[in-house]
Amino acid sequence: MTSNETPTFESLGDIDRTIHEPARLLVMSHLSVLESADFLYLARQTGLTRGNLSSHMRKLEEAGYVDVEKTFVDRLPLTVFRLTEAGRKALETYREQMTQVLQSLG
Amino acid sequence: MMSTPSEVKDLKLAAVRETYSDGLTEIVTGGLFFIVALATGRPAFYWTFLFAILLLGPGLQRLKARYTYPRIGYAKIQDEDPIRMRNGVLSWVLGVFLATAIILAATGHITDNLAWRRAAPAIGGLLFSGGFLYLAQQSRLARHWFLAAFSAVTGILMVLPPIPEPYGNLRVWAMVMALVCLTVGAVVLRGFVKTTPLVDERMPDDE
Repeated sequence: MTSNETPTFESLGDIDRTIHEPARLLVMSHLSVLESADFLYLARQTGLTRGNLSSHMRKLEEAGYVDVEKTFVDRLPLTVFRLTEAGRKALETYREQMTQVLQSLG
Repeated sequence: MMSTPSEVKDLKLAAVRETYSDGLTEIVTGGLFFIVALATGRPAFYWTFLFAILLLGPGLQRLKARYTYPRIGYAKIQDEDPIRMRNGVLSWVLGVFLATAIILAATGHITDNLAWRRAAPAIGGLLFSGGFLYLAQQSRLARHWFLAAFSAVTGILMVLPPIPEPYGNLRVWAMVMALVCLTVGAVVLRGFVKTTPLVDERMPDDE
């Protein structure tokens, strides 16, 4: 290992583990290209079960990466999720960190 | 700035395609063409702009809330940059009118009111073609490319047959477009309803 590579691998320790989990990364990636989406849409797109998705959404909400809004579309109640500014920033940082790590692996 | 990975672009494309997978946009657009056909040559024509806003806005949303969201869920695509959108629409509209004016000037009919009336289907066809091209660029669905080409080609061809009634060509063109859009939309909706069952369960927080 060269001295140039050391800081990159050390930065692996700073990786955001909330996002690093594959299911949550998938959910955040989907939300990053949307303004908002409901539970059913995310469940269909990610292939996660309801219970699984529910638990991941709770963790993302607790981390402040996802906002939950209860709204009505044509008088039908709808719970929609959107990525917060902090969530977008965290995802971007995660991508930069992982790109650096993967590039250093050759 | 980092480049966007193709997978993220694919996610956006998939989301856009999901949005149009129900065929309702084509059905509502067909309804709008039908109204244009009925209102052409009448004072009510100016109200079609209001109908367009109502049908493609709250009208379409209502239909989607009833038939689409309970099946595939709700997703709102990020809005385009409004300035870029406005500039794009204005450039397209100005381009269509400028092209028509150049052709009419070249044939010595630029001040001829009747020539402008006869050109109305071509103007309409090219204007709506711009809308379908925008959809096609977003969704990359074959039917949107087809509708863009069909709108432009039939609009231009409809200038040729001599229909004595003022704006008669425009009415016929709008009716043809209505039938095509409604047919395309109905076929897509039928497939959508058949292959995408209703999902009864609501998310736990809704209960």
